[in-house]
Amino acid sequence: MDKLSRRKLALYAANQVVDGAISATVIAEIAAYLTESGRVREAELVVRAIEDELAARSVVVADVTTAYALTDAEKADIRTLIGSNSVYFRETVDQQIIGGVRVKTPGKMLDATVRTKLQALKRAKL
Amino acid sequence: MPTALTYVANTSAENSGLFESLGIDWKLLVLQSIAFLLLLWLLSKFVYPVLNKMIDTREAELEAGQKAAKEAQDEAARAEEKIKSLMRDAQKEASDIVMTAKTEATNMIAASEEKAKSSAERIVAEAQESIAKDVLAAKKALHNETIDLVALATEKVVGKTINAKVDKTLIKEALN
Repeated sequence: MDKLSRRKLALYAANQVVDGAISATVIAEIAAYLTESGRVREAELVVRAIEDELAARSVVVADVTTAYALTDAEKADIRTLIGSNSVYFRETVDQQIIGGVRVKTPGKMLDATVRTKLQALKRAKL
Repeated sequence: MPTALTYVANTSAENSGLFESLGIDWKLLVLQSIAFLLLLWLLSKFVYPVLNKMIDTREAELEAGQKAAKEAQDEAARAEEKIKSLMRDAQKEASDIVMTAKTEATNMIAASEEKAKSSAERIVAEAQESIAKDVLAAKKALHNETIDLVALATEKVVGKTINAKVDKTLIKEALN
């Protein structure tokens, strides 16, 4: 069996998801392939490649980190900020950021956490 | 000569009476005259030439001595004149040396003063620069310490005061 590149795998998965296939099924197929071909270590890279391909099709997977759980209104604001209706949230609640929000999408990041602002203040040392 | 002796004898004989009356023995007088003449001849023959020669030699020596003394006197005069000239030159040279030494001393003092002034200015500048650096370092340390304190205080205060409601406001401001 020829080794498929990560880009081809990402293209396949993105096309399947955009065409309406069940995400879990597609992910299971990709996982099975990686396991079969002994490339489990590439799983994270493949996931990133798939997210990049989805972003190119206006389907965005956003990593959102907050100190408290996101409300629907906040999610709507994030969708507006990203500029896409097809936004999938990967939420993380982390009290260490103290407050604010951090949104990471393929190729972009908005970091408006209090922790980052404090670190920026500390970096202002002479 | 015999004639003369005869004449003398005759004359003596004629005058013997006179000599005798005066108490003079004419024979003895003749012999004494002969002895005198003989002595005179001997002296002129053997003694006077030697004495004359000695006197001439002594005279020549005196003249030579006088001449040497005059030459020495002239030489001394010339030496004195030369010494005076040398003294004048030496005094002039000494005066020049003193003048040169004074000028050099003045120049050296001026150079030393200039050097000391320059050194003092450099030391002051270095001290000022060092002080400025220290002040800047202190300001920097104070600034950094202040930032650390502000960040720590902010973290503590904000960490305690932020709640879900405040957090929503922060998120809304960040997203809009």
